[in-house]
Amino acid sequence: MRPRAAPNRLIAAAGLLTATMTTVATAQLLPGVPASPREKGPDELARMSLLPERVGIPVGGSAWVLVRLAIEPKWHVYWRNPGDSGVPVELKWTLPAGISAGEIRWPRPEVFRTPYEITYGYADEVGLLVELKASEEIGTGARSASIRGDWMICKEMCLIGGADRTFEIEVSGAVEADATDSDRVPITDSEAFAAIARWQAQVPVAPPEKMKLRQMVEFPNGFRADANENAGVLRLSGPAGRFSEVRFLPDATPGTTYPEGGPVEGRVASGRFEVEVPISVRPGDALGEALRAAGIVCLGNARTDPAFEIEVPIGPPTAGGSTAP
Amino acid sequence: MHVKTRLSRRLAIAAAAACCVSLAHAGLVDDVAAKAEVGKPAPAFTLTDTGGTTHNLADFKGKTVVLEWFSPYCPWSGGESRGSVHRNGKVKSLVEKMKAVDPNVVYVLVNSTHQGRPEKEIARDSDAVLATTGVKLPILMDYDGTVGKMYGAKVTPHLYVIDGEGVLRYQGAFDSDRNSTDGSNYVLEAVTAIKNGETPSTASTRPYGCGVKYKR
Repeated sequence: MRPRAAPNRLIAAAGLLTATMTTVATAQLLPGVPASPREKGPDELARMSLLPERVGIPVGGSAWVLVRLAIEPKWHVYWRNPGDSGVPVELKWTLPAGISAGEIRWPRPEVFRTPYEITYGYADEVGLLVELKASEEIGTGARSASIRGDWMICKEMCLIGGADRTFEIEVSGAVEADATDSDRVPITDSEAFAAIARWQAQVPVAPPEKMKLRQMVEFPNGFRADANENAGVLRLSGPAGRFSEVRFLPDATPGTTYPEGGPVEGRVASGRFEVEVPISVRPGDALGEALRAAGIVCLGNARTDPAFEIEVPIGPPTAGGSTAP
Repeated sequence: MHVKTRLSRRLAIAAAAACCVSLAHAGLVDDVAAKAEVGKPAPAFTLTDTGGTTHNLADFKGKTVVLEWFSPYCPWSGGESRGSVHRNGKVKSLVEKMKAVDPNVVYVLVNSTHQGRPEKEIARDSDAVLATTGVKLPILMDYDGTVGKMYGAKVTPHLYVIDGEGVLRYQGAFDSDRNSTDGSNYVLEAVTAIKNGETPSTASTRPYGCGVKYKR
């Protein structure tokens, strides 16, 4: 469930201003002098902070926590699929009994192109949202918790950094069954509310029903679970709104591989987008996971432009040689 | 709402990325189509190591050969970092365990790093890493990147295990958990399987590391 804040430019601007002010000014690099990585150690190139610092969770309920990284200019960290190389940011939570943490809700990444490779990740800053849940049986009161972040951070060269933070969890009495989203984050922490709303807006969403985004996988020569390799196409189409660019960024899916060379560009015509992604499915490489084609389809170029989660299960063959969700 | 399952440590890097899709578009490493494919004969090569000795893959027929793509600058490979498989003891441990299973196993490093640096500098920096770790391994210099591209080596470390018949049996990650020593070592598993006359159960995984800085 997302906080209901509509894209409010004032709130977004406030969030951006806050994030900028927390970024420490760096020493200016002299032109012509190669940047020495020893100027800032790997653990200083990205500064991790948590919002809110005191997390209020109702018994049986949940709350959003934002893990922010303020990243040194020109460096970047990686998305859940880093691309040609790199490793994703990893979070490890140490939580009191009865509290659990969900998966990272990754915001739409940028595409980094160097002469050597194409990768996906985040420069300047990123906010990673995680939902903390409290069980029905937990007692109320304050508890301490901690989080460990590890990341690979690169410019032309790469370093491995990380940080530990402790924080407080305040478990409050159960809320009413019809509690609104805004009850999850204490209204008194408006900075947290604004920041969470800002980053939530950048997380790709499952395509709403009314958008009629089509996603399907076709196997022109049919699909065989016992084949070494099946060649297919992931076809995506939908309304493009005011955008003229569209591209698909794949996930790292065991058993399904996507073309080399970065995102797959699509085309936009008459307000509609179409992307065709050649895929190769090797059931033997699935490592026990369900076969699927997955990733995000991104309109426009900015991190704040719309992006949608794509996931098409790939299963036993159907009569027409194609599978659709 | 779609929830992306956080891949467990084991799977996070074990997502299969075998040979590139034949319908590949605009690959950056596109001069030479990668020929290395698990189940097929590994591409032949002759390379000289930093000590001046020449190594030809064909000379090792009858022995299991492990190739590790290496860079002295990458924090997962030879760089100064807790993630470096050389500096955190993982390579030493692997070599010891492999030799216990198969005393004849051959383990060599291949360095396709160019990055606009002089070859001598890369060779010197590579030797310096191994001098620190105390594990003697030949460092085969592939400065123009030909062999790396033939093998489709994308990152350091990227591992390949070739059996005594010259067939590639495993390619991919060093192990299943880049952040600890708790994971499975796919290389050891492959070497053990080959020694027992079996096919490695994990043939292909997605390697973790820094991109190989090929010559442009």
